[in-house]
Amino acid sequence: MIVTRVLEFLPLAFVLGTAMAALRHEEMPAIQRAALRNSGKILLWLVIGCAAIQGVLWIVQD
Amino acid sequence: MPAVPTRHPLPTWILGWLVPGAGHWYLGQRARGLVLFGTLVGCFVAGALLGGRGTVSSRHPEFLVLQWGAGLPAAGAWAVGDPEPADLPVARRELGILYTLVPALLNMVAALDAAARATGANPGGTEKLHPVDPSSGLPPGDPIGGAPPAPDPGVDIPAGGDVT
Repeated sequence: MIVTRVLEFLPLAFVLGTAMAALRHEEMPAIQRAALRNSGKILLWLVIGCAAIQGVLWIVQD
Repeated sequence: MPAVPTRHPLPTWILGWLVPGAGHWYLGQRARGLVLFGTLVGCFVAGALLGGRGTVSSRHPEFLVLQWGAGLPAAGAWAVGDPEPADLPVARRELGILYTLVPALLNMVAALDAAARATGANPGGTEKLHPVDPSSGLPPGDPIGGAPPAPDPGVDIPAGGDVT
């Protein structure tokens, strides 16, 4: 369930991270580095958030 | 850092709204414009293809209003859209709507950013809003070791006395 949700949001994380990088940086190499960094951070927080919600649901339903 | 020519913000905003990235391209920031165009239009088209012909349609007016933020791609998808589309799984339709909503909202932010840059107020990006001392890499007046702040010329401080 978590894996499916993360895979669904993976392109959105990449788009959001790339747009943020493009708005902040000027040169293409800097944009590429920042895009990867931003996408990774967004994805990490997404995984943490999904896992936390799943954990809370598991506790509540148990 | 290349100099950005000052342009009128209104045509820059309209261009950036109609075609994602075109506002920055108009300002001469080609790399930024290309990246924005590729990511935003790519995601929007992927969403429109994923969700079918009903993704951008008057069947969902609350989403359609926001999807218009993508400009011409939204107009194209709306023109070929079908208000009564063939049955698709609801999850797939919702994912398509989400994939079109996010780039549409990001395009509105990008168009406003281009309009702000058109005035020449912030040509280099948000990091230039917080200038740093090149020798220390810290903001001026930083207690850790940055350069001392420049004295305010409007306030006259007498020697050894308090300002009241």
